[in-house]
Amino acid sequence: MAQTQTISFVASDVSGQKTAVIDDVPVDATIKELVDSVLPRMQLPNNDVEGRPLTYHPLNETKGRHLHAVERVGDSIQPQDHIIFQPNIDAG
Amino acid sequence: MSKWCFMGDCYHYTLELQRRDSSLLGQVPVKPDWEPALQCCLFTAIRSGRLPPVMEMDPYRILPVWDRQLGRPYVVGVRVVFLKNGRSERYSAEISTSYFREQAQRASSHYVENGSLNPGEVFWYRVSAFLQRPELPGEEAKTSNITVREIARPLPLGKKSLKDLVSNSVFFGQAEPHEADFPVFVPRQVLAELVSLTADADGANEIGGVLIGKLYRDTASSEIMAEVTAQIGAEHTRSRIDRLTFTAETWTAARAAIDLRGDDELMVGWWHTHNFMKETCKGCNKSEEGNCPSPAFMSSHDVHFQRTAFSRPWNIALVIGDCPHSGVDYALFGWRHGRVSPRPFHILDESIPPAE
Repeated sequence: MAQTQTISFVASDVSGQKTAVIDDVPVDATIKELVDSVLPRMQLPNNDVEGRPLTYHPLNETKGRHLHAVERVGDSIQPQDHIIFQPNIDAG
Repeated sequence: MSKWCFMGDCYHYTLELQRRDSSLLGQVPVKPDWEPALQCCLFTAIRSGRLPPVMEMDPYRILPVWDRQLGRPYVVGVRVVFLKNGRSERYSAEISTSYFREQAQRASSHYVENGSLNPGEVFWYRVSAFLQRPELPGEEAKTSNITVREIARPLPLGKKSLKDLVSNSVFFGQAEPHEADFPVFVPRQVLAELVSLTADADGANEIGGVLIGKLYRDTASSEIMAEVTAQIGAEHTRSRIDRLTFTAETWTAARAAIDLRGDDELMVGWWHTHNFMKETCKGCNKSEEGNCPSPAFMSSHDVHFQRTAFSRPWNIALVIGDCPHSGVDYALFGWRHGRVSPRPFHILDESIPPAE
């Protein structure tokens, strides 16, 4: 069976007070797939108060740019990069 | 304990909603978000000195506390047992069924819509717990093998005298003091700046920002406190009369401002305004009758905002309301047993240097 290449990196929530090592991320996964998979494991909400999906724009702090949902992990994140999950959130 | 359930929460929960006359409205399955409650349990143990100041979530079990009068499946709460080495109890805490209140309120809206419950009518709820079988594995996703290991860092605690800070402050707030609340100090000049920004805001649209500051441990006890040092106005937001969206660019700009200050400050919370009364209360005379509600409250969107961006137990939210009749009013909110609650705080006239 063919082995999928994976990478590891560090990720934080938007306030920077919750940080985790993310391991075994397939390089051919999209950023959207990454976000959908990692958020619940970091105990971060992925829906808004009305149950609609929240939009997160991960920031690759090491490279200083936001990552797009359709980008491939292997093209946008290097091992040991620091990713910050930044949501668009509504206060009311 | 079932053979398939050793860790985490192995139960599913149902809310039973009743009218005041005990007639049944219906039953609603709910999935509690235990994360804020678990973090508050941990923080309480740290504040009391029972645990070192590291937000490290040990493996835990959540066990129902059965209602002795009604019997199973009714519960009066749950007991969280944090385990040492995955086996022996390290510490534990109880969470009451009031933790389900917001979910019960959301569930009640269905009965209001279908006419079973009148708007504003009081109802009761009971919580039932049922052991659940593990879910069968779904289709293998490409990302299913991803693992997440939280990095347990010691809290960045300086040292200050709580007594000295209190003596330089004025205790403020309409909410009753609660033992679960840790001391929070907000400089008077920061409040004055926010009041001024609110009053000067163009129109009734909401504005907001991030509260930054530091955490300290009292020199005379194990108590932990937060001191706000400044506010950073939110840029790149989308705003209207009843919404304020913090975008990814808002967070990037706030982070850049903190880095520029170079003082290792934390995002301890956030603030925003409720200026809608500038529009909705034009020509209203409720304030003259003395029954004008305060605009300084947390909406369901605000509570969710707090959960999404500021879920640590020391994170706070300041809401500033502006009413054309009663003027500018503010209130502080924070985590209490895993729920966002109004809380008092200290208005700091003059800070003190950290202890050596």
